[in-house]
Amino acid sequence: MNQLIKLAWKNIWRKKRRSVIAMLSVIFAVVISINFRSLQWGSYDKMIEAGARNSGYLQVQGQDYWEDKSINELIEDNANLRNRISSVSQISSIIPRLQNFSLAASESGSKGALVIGIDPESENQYNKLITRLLEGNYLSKNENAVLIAEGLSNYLQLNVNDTLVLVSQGYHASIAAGKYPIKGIVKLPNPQMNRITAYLPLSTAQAFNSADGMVNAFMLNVSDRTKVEAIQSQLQDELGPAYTVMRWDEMHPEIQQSINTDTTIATLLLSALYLIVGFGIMGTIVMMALERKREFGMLQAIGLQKSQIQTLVLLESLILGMIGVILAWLIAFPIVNFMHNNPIPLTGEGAKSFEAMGVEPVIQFAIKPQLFGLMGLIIFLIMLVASSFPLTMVRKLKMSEVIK
Amino acid sequence: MTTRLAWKNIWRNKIRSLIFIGAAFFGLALAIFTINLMKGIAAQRLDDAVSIQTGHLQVQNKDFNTFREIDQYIANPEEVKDLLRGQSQIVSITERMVAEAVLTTPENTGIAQLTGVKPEMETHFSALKDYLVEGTYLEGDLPKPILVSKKTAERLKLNLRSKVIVTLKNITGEIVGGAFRVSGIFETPNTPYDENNAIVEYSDLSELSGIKNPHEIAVLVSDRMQLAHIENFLAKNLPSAYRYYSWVTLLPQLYAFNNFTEAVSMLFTIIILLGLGFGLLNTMNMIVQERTREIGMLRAIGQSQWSVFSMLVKESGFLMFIGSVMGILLGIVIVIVTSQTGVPLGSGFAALGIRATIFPVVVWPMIVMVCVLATILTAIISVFPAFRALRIKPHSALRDL
Repeated sequence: MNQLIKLAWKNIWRKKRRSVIAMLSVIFAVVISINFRSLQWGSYDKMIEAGARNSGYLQVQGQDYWEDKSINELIEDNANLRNRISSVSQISSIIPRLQNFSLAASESGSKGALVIGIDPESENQYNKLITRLLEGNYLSKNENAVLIAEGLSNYLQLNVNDTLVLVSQGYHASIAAGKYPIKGIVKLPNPQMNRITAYLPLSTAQAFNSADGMVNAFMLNVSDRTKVEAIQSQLQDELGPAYTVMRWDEMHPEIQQSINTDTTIATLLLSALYLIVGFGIMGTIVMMALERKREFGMLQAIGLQKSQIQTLVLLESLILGMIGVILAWLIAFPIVNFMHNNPIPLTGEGAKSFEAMGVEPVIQFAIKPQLFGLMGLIIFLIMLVASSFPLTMVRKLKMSEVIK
Repeated sequence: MTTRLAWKNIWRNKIRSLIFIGAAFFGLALAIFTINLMKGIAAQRLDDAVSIQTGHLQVQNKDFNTFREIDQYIANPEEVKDLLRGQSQIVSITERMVAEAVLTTPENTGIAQLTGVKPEMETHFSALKDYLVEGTYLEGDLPKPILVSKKTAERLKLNLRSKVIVTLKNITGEIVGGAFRVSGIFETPNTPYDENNAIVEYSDLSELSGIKNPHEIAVLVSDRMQLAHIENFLAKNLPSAYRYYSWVTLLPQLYAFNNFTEAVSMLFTIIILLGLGFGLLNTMNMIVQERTREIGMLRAIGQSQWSVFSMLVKESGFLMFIGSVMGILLGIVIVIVTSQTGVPLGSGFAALGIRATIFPVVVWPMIVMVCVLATILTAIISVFPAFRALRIKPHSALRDL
């Protein structure tokens, strides 16, 4: 075997230029595809992060809340429930919320608003709401005050210390109405949220909705996002059918669908690239075999088994592919790593479309080892397919004919 | 002479030439199909959004887009419509009134942007009618009909003919309410639109809000490319109390998606052709190596350097030409076939406003771009091996004969 590897290595370098070009094509395809996908994965991560900021990676709700989003489908916020939730490992924080749609009004106008009752402390720990403040101060627990989003404040022409009037339907068809001084104005990255959101401290929101001690959901942060499915099913088992545990991708189908559309298109385009490069490699390997019919006959004549010759041919293609893949990894990794650590901020039209989705407008590559593995595997498979021609050729080889 | 020689040379090593041609054939066919599919998706999302939501261009009160106040209506709609009517590219003009409203049923509450439309003016903005899943458009015998989305209907527990209370702030600042009855339920491929919108008769909304004039005058044009012309016209002639917005401003996400597809098509065409370039480079490299002696012979019997050079360039040109023309043709055929049958994507993309079946169309400028890039690339790549052939000296090539 050692002998064969040595022979294969030497054979590769017999036609240097040809082998180098074949390797270059492998390097080209692998470097391009790793970089392209890392770029896309980077933007997926940003989108997921933006989505989870408003919903948590997981959410515990009342059984039917998600279907109706009704103020009547609430759950009780008690120590027992919180303990059961935190008994599941990898849940790093529990953030309660009580939200309801409401009409928000001022002297100058009124507008539909999403009124979210938050626990100021845990909310801020999770999504750094305090950093979004444009004016005024952040909420403190139990106070009778409201934090409103920039768009809403512009629309209603309200500033800090003005009064916001909220009218809605509360828990069990009670009438919800209240006047709250504006403590601060926040700029939310998601433009739609920025137009409609108002935050009340949780207890104030409970009083507004006549829903003491109730919330509509617990947002959960998890320590490892990739395990979110497993945590979800574990938690669902723990809580039973009275509660529904939802994942970020179930709550934000548009994010998952964006990722799917993008992935489908990228897969098709990269397939076209690999198809072309694969054919090129096949051409090289087929030529390597055809030229050496006589040589193979000769090897057989001096006592090599056909299977040994086949191993030799296979080794040649695999080594060729392997050198290409390893060099490609060595080139791709520093680029991906650099683009991960030095995100490029976007400006102009491109930035607007990111902002429209509430996503930070930067290009940042993601480092995904599985991409490196996948591209290597594709080349390995291409090499196997390409070798099938020489392998068959050797099998059918008639020594007596070729060395005549 | 060199042309015929080049053509014959290609077929001397059939396997190698066919493999290269196969690469160009399959690779380009798949690439052309994918790029056109992507453009098809972008076009469908845009056409739906323009038809259901914004129109290609809108005229509004100059402050409405920023503040969206109910009193920021178009003061003199006739004046604006007269201006627009003079533009021959405009196929349809419609007036709409817009108000933020709270929808209440005994079961639940929701907020929606309420759009008051005049059904007789909306005939060209018809996509919403295609998406009715129950009931009829605003015509019918119900007093104060309202169209709600399936999402909203489920959330508020609404059926056909059931009552929903609409609350909004009218022109004098009072909170006013009115009972509307569901005449139709729609479900568009655009989930966010569905979640946030409801449609009523213009006159009914007018009665509630206390204003007569529209907030938006939306137009559709026969060809999107003509829009710049209309924008130019409006820039000069539209009174300063109004502003116009094209779909580019009103639908920034779709505009960005369009640009993204442009950039990706261009980039991938180049990448795929470069990939093909490696194959071509290797083929030509082998050819020059195998034929060192032959080329020496050609030079010895009096062929000039130039004619050897042009023979080799033509040879790679032929290879590329056969492969890519066939591949592009196959790609076009696939696109034409699927533009009739549709490409089933499934309903998995509704949150993005992507329909379950996409009908790609052949984007000819894209095909031309592929051809031009392929030609340039072939020319560049074939020159390298051909130069190497130039260095072959007749006497040393023939020495071992």
